[in-house]
Amino acid sequence: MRKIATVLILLMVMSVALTAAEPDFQEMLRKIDDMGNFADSDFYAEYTLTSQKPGEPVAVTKAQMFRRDRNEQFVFIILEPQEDSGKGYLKVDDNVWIYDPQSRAFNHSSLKEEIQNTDTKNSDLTSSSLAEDYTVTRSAEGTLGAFPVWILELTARNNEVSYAKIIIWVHKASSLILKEEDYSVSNRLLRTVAYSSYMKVGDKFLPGVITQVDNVAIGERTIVQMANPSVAVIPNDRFTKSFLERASN
Amino acid sequence: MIQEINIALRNLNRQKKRSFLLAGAIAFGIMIVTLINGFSGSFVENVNENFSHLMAGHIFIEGVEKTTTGRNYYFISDDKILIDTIESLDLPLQFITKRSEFSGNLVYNGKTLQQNIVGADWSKENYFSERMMILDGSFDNMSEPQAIILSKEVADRLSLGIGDRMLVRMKTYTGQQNLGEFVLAAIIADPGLIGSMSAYANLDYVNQLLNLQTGEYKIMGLYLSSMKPIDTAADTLYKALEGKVQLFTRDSDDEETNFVEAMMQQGKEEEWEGLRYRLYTLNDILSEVQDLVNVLDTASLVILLVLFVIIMVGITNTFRMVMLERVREIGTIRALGVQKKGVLRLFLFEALFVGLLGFTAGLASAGIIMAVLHQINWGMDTPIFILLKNGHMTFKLLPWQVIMNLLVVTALTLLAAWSPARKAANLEPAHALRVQN
Amino acid sequence: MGIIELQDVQKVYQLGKVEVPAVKGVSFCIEKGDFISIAGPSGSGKTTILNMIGLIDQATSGEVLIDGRPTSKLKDAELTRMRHETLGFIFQSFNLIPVLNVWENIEFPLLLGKTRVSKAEKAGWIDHLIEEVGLTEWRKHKPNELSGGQRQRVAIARALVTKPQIVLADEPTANLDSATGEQIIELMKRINRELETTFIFSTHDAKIVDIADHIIRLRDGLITENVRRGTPVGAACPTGN
Repeated sequence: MRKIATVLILLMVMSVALTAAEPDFQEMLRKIDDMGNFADSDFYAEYTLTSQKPGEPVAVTKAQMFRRDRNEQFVFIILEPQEDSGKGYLKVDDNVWIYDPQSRAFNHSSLKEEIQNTDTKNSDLTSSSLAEDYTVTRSAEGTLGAFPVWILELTARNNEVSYAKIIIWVHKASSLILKEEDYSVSNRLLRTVAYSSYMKVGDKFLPGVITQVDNVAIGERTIVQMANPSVAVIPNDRFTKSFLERASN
Repeated sequence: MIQEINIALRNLNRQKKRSFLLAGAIAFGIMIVTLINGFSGSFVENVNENFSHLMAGHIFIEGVEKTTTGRNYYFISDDKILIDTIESLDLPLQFITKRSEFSGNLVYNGKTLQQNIVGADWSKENYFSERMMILDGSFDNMSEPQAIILSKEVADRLSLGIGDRMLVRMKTYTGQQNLGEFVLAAIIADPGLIGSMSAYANLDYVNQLLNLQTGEYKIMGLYLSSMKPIDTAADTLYKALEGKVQLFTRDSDDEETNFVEAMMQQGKEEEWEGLRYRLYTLNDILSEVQDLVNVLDTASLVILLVLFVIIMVGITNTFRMVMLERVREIGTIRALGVQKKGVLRLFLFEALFVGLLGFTAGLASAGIIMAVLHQINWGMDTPIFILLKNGHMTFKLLPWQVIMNLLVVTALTLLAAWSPARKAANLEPAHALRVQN
Repeated sequence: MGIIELQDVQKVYQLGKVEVPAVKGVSFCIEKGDFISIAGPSGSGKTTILNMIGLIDQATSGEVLIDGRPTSKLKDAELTRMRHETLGFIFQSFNLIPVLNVWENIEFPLLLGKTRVSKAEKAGWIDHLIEEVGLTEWRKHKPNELSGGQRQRVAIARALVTKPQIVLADEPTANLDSATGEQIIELMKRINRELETTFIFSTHDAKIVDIADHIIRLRDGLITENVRRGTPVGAACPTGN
């Protein structure tokens, strides 16, 4: 009887200890967000999006990204392929504009819109807001390859974010996301994303390679490679419509 | 006068070939114009009717909710007040339809295709299923909740057969990613133009994919017993709903932007709480069709005028010749006591009869062509389906158009004959009698 | 009593810039009921004078009086009405209306006037005239189905249908062979006697001139002879009486 009591107490202590060992996941999300956000500087990088679709030739898109996260501004200009050169996205205030150099017109777009018919969304390359949009509803420990990870199930706080549910694999030591699964409202897997080759940019870490696999259209995938990241100051006139107009000339 | 008419008619008979050619030219012009008139007359009616079937209604109500983040969500949640108001009015209502729709990507076997999918309560919309031309499968398969009906073109492009299951990737009414699954129930003949843009599924499942709650849907359609009272019925309904629910204003000040666009703009610019309803009609959507008809009518009038300028030249020349041929005859009747006016009338009557003969022949031949064209069954899978009535071309001639054409032809013919007739009337009898021919 | 009087009538035709005098001052008087021949070679002014009497041409100067009424100041509509009411015409080339048959051609002038006669009376009168000119069997025929003589008979009947006081015939026999021509003149003469209609005909055929009661001969637009029943007559109509 005493033994049993001891075991029970031990178990209770252990569970408390375990609970104590379990980190504050919401805080972890904030940390993840912070890792991807440049609140104190501007951010510039070049991206190469390689998109594969069954039965279609590989499509390569090269683009430049200018970000000023503190003002929630960004400009994304496509350099290649030649026929889309000069096409760009601009976020000022709450509006996302898409610029078409052919018609020289700006149209309303959204962060949820896919870039160039790839699996990549504008929001994938801009500042992260997981803590604001999601709550952690389940958690577990595990490994991903050789890395010990937290596996977190995130449920959307509102019905406006793209994915109703996300599962992320977070590297325990660094709090960097290694893998992500995006689910539909009907709780079906839509895409799987792998983050690798993290690079130090200023005092932040960003994935050098993002691999997005479409789980609906089987065989479709997009690989996003980042190059030449910089936190140098970007001139103010970059974040204007006239810059996109000039850039396409 | 009767003698003048008599002689004019006999004169026509004198040069049968010439009279027939002249009347034939007029008949041709009238035939073309009548065909255009007839076609454009039934054009609006057929397009509207086909659209009313495709869209399941003549008057539509949509609900729009503005979120705190400034987005618009389109849905109707509680329609009791709408239904009660509609039923309290004496509208020529046949039934009310409730539909939801979205645009999504159908994915099957590595192929993806964008498709507009309409969800309807098929137990209540059986008139619609009756109009579908099913090529494969059966409408009975729609009892399966996730059933879908696709056009032949879409099914072929995705290599889908009856019973195959496909994925659909789309967004909920709030814009979230969602994934569903459909099973192909039936393949229908492509109804052409607008029709090919839609696939048909069950309302409940479409609502589920859109993340709408039970009883919610996107568009209410009022199906009226006839096309004619659409606008008055819409006005009556709008007035009755005013004060009971929030409504978007129906009148657009700006002539340039069309009415539906103007309402969209209101949705962006204004702010409100809860649901605000948008009421519009088939006529609002299809105002371009009316524009097209106006263009057709104007074109037909231009054709009529161009043809008749040409025909007028022919008439003038012919009557000048007639006048020269009959100089001595004119001298004779003038000598016998026919006044100048009499000679003038003689010529004008002759022209008038040519015009009337041509008009009648033209109208008759247009009628025959219309009847023949009407007999042809173009089927429901033709691209011009939307212009047809159950696969048949229809023509509707408005009496005022026929009368108008008659007046134009008469006026122009008389105008064309006027100058030669005047010359004939003003011939000096002595001079005319001296002419040898 | 003169039914027609010409007072120093001149007619000048304008041919481009050249003035051609056709009638150079002609005066004569025609008695009611006479059978008059205006004779002369072609170009002597016969047709011009007949046209002026027939009110289808107007004198350049001088006056034409019909039944005592001056006509030089009348308007076209009044002249037309006078032609219809007072005059009948017979033309050299018949001038029938090709689309009308014999009966209708004769009827035609009756349809123009304002006076209305009963259908039966009208039909009886036309039938009588057709019988008179000997075409009863041809009444339904079109002009192109008739011989020249027959056509001229139709023209005579048409000229008489309105019961005119004067019938003018411009070279009525010129397009006919001489035997037919003589028959036509005989017919005219007979009607002249029966109806007491004044007949004026122009001709250049010496053989038929002599049938006339009153012969006016012309040359170069002037009267060379004016003889009534063998006696020369004056230019003016006798007044009073």
